[in-house]
Amino acid sequence: MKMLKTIMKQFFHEPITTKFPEEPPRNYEGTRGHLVFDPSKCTSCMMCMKRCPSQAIIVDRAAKTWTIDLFRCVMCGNCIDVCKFGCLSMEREYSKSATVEERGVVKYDITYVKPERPKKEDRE
Amino acid sequence: MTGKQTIIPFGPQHPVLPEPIHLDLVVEDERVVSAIPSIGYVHRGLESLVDRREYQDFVYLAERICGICSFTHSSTFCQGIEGMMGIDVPPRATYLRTMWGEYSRMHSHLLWLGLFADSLGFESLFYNSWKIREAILNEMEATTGGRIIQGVCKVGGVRRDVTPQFLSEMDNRLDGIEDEMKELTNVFLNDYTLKKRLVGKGVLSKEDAYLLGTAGPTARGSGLEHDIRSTGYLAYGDIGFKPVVEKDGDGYARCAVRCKELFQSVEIIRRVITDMPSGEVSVPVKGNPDGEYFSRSEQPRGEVIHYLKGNGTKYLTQFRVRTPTLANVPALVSIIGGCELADVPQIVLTIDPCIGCMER
Amino acid sequence: MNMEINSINVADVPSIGAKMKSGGYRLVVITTTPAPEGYFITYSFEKEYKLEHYRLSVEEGTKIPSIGPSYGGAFVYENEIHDLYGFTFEGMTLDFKGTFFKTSIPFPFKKKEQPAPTVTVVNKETKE
Repeated sequence: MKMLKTIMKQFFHEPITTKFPEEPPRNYEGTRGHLVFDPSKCTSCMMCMKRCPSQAIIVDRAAKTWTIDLFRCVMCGNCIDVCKFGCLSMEREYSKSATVEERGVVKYDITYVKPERPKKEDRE
Repeated sequence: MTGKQTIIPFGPQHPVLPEPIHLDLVVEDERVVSAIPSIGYVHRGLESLVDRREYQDFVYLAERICGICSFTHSSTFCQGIEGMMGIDVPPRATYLRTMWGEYSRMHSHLLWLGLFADSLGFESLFYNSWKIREAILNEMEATTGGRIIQGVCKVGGVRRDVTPQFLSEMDNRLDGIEDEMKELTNVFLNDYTLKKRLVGKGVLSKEDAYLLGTAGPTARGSGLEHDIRSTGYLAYGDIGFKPVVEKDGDGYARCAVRCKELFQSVEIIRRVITDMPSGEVSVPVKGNPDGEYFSRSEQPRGEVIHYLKGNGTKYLTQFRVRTPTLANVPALVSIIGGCELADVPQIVLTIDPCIGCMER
Repeated sequence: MNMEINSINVADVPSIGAKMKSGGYRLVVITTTPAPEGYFITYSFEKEYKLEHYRLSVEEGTKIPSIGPSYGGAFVYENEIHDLYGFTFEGMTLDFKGTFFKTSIPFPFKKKEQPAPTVTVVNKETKE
């Protein structure tokens, strides 16, 4: 008799799976989706390049570029904890897929301008 | 009577196995005489990367050894480094790690129940177990940020905190999960056809389990009371803990141990939520590890032991992991001798093989 | 965690195995680690959640008697150490003769003269 109740429920219940891509996928507020970089705050200290466990970030100090290979990134969040200037953050949407030719390598130009320090006599 | 012996390969590709392992079965007229295992299909050599990544970044590599038991690998590694350097973790961090460890245990046992039902042919039980598992993975994603790989442990504590309001809502949701689990385990333990295929098959006696060095629900299903959580690491010392033991030693006893551990985990999570202390969740870490340390803890499949060795620089010199599936392989070789050929897939599944962990 | 380690010789291994088995101990793990000269092989036993360790100090390529007659489940650890480090154990319960782990480089974990680079270079276009 318990089996009959389960069988009847199966007929009238809506499906439990998410009908992707008509509905957006379900994620929560703290989900580690993809990485976002702000070029105006980066001072090329290269800490994120040294501490990435999968070596996905390449910083070129002479040419002033910051490159990330999005397919090597595992979204661990270590670079966000290590960066002292707050240029990196994590968004909650999952990363998109891409083909082999596109390869997912994104390059940014660093646009940081060092602020002028007031001279010592002005501060005293 | 001795008939002719043939050798049948139970190959790396099989619909029943989640991960590749190979067994050569020596068969005599439909009865298996012995089995010879052969492993090494997913050996990645993760342990040799330890001298190329700093010890604080290595946590992210340690948790990617296995997909199912990933949280306990990272928590055992952090426990090893904190023991070697003499760091005291704040109490709120130990309670949070206990909570996530018990959620990880529940999701692993529900995954096993689903695979086991699928190997016997019950696909709708497979669907129902994994439907409950989705609710648990949603809880993990809302608190830590990842469904399978959590990435929340670090040397000196945890990286994220949980608000008290979220904890009380989680308590209410656990009631619904517990009711659904009761209906599910009722089917696994009391159904006539499942009992016919499990009772009396693949018997492991208590002396054999002790001398072959088995661990986890495989040993507890044979009457051996061995569970590392009784030593009182993390928050288990405050809460108090008693292992779940069954006496028969066959496939039905091992299945019953895992079903009862599900409800024990729900009780532990409820105690952790009511007793959670307040305070900070991490301490700053200075200096480098020096010396050697053995760190043990209880994974969903048994006892895991991490061996760490450092020499005063930022890079560790050696890292060795011995997972419970490696300790259960001799027991598998001894169980299979003497059973029928048609029972081999489900007997291999009752020891819960996690081959990705076994050959890191 | 009990960290005291007792040192023994190569010839004592079967007698230690018999002593531990009659004492009711359980074999936990056999670990190998490179030492300043040669290697250390450590046997870990456990009774009622307390660990005891016994350590051998050996050179490369030594032959060691197996602990298999006392503890049947030790063949897993001994075959793995043979395939990764190159030690030979005599009298194993189940001998795989070097095919337990099939690696492309034989004995990958031996000590090498030149240590591996800190940052691995994978593609031609990545720069260090």
